[in-house]
Amino acid sequence: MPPTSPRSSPRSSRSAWPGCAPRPAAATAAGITATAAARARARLADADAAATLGKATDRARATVRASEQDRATRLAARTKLARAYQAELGEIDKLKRQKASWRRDRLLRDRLASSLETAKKLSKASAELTILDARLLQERRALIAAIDAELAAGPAAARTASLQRVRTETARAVAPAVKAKKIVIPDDEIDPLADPDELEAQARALRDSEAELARQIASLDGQVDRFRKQAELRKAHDRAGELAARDDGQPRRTAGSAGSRDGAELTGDAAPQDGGDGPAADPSTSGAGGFEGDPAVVLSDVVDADTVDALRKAERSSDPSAKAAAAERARREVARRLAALRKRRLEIEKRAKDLAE
Amino acid sequence: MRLWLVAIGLVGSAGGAVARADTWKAEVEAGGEWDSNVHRVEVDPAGTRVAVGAPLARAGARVEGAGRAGAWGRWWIAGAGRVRTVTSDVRGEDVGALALDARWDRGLGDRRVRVGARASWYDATALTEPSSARTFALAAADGFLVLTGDGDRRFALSAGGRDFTYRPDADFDWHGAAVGARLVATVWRRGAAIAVDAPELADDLAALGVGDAAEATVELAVGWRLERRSYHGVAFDDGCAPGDPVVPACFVPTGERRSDLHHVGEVEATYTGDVVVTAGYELTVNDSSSYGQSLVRHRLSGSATIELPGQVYATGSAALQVDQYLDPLLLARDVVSQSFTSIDDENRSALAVRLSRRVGRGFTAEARWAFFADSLSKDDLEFRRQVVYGGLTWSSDD
Repeated sequence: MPPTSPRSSPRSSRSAWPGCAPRPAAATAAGITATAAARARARLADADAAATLGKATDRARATVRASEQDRATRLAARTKLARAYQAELGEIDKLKRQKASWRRDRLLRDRLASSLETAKKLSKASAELTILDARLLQERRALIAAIDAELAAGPAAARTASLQRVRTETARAVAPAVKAKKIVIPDDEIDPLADPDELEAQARALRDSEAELARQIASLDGQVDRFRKQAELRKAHDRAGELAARDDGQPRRTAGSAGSRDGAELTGDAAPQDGGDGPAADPSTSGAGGFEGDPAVVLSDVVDADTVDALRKAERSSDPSAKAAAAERARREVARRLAALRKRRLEIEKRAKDLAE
Repeated sequence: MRLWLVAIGLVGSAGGAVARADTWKAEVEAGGEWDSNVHRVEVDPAGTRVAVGAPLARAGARVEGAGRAGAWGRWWIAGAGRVRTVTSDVRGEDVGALALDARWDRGLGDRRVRVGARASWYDATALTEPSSARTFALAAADGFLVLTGDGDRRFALSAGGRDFTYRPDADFDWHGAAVGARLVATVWRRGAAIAVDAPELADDLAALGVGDAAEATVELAVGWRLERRSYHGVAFDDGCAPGDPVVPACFVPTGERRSDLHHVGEVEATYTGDVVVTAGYELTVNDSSSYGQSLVRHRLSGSATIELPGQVYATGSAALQVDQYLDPLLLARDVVSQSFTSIDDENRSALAVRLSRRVGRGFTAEARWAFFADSLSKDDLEFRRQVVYGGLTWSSDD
């Protein structure tokens, strides 16, 4: 409804009868009242619309939350199944290596049947999770749409901030994860029957792999620098603590230690922590935690198994020096592989050139 | 002397073991220091006790090695020696310390469980005087069990024994059983998206703590330990009527030996990223059968390390310690000739700043200022101590 002005009102301009003509002040008041009412109605309508939009957003958010919780539960169950399956496979492997006997065969049959059952459950759990993921994706997209609609209506500042935060989190979850492509080194053997074109193609593929390896080296360099810096900080930090203990800054009637840490080691810190029976770890550096990216996956076909193992251990380490050492080792391995690949590529190119001539 | 011969033998054995280690490292340090209160006395406002300042020299070395013992698991051994000597005519503060630490462990079953044993020995001996207030020896032996959980969580239980010798006064010698538990876990990490080429594995790897870029982490450690300390000296009882002023005569020796239950609970969080920050709280409860020896100690501590321009690392530390004595405390230090000036009875808060910088391959120069005070003490005595240290360290690891 457009705002009504007394001056523009046709009724007021045509009212010529004495006594019937509305007084200008009264006419203005009536007009203002009508305007206010119209504004109030509009505000009410806006509020209704905002409330409706808000409810829709809250509903969508609740749906996403419920699905996320469901997913977390299912994921935990699947992880448990995956571990059980791995354990069963390990047991089967051990049994297979044992000397054949009636008892071993019986156990093997039992374990195989059991592992098959677990594999089926695992497969079912994975399929359910895939379906749930697809549903969750749709629900998250619906939530983003609901938030966008509510934001367009101009909600209160606090609500806007809250919606924007939720939208950012949801959009991050919806965005496809950046996947690290495993570096697969192409065949670098020289086929004696290959023609120059085939050799050129092989050299091109090797050159692409070299570029990927070079990128990986640069990435590992960055990781080494960062973790080295963190390791320096930790070392300086620990040394300050050591000096404080030496100054009797804290009570010393606890177990003394020749180690760089104090008696607290006794109840666990100094205990070897990598959970494996690999090479003896330095107790002051072995630990557990996470790792930059996942070079162990990216480089699994590039570096040797020991290096991958070291990377895996570093991934679980919270000690930056362990991470730096693992990244350094991986860098050396990748550099060695790159040099070998380059040499082989040059040989292939030379062979192609020779054949072409 | 006999103890020192044993020590030398043990150090020799440790050296031999280190020589056969798969990995080993050595550290050496030396430096000069000024200590404004070298005897660490609490100053009496009446002026009967005054703090004495003195220059000191410090030197130390440490070596450690680790290796495998075939199918029997793995071992780790370390030995360290330190000397602190006053370079002026102040007497009684020249102390040498020797420490040995050895550990063995092996995995069980799926190797999420490890069992092992550890033995350590720490001996602080006066170098020039017959004894010093800070000379003692502590031997410890423990068996332990470590449970490793997902990611980096680990829970350790230990049980063993302790034998403590306080050189200035045998009444303070004690021995007894000790048990402990400690949980360590990374409770927070900041990282990039999971980057694996197999989406179906991403969640499993994430659940196992693999694959996420831990640019920064927060590690939480929670621990508790209990020692039952059976003292060589006798327990005292309160011989005065309730409400009477506490005087030395109130401390009446009993026919029983002193026995304490010493609890220590601690929680500590460490953030590691572009800076390293640690915050911790420690609660000590000493429940003693001897009058005047029970106490509750609260200790809050925090420290942060940052990198300054010029590759200088700076660490600032602060600690606030408050002792609450559960019995009326007698401040006299000479009750029945017993020295209560032990390193265990300090009520010291501290502030410290340390700067360090690498100055060559393996070498690091360091400087440190520390201030100790009994800022929250309610007694009439006042403790103040400042220490300024400058030195050089060398590590085979760097």
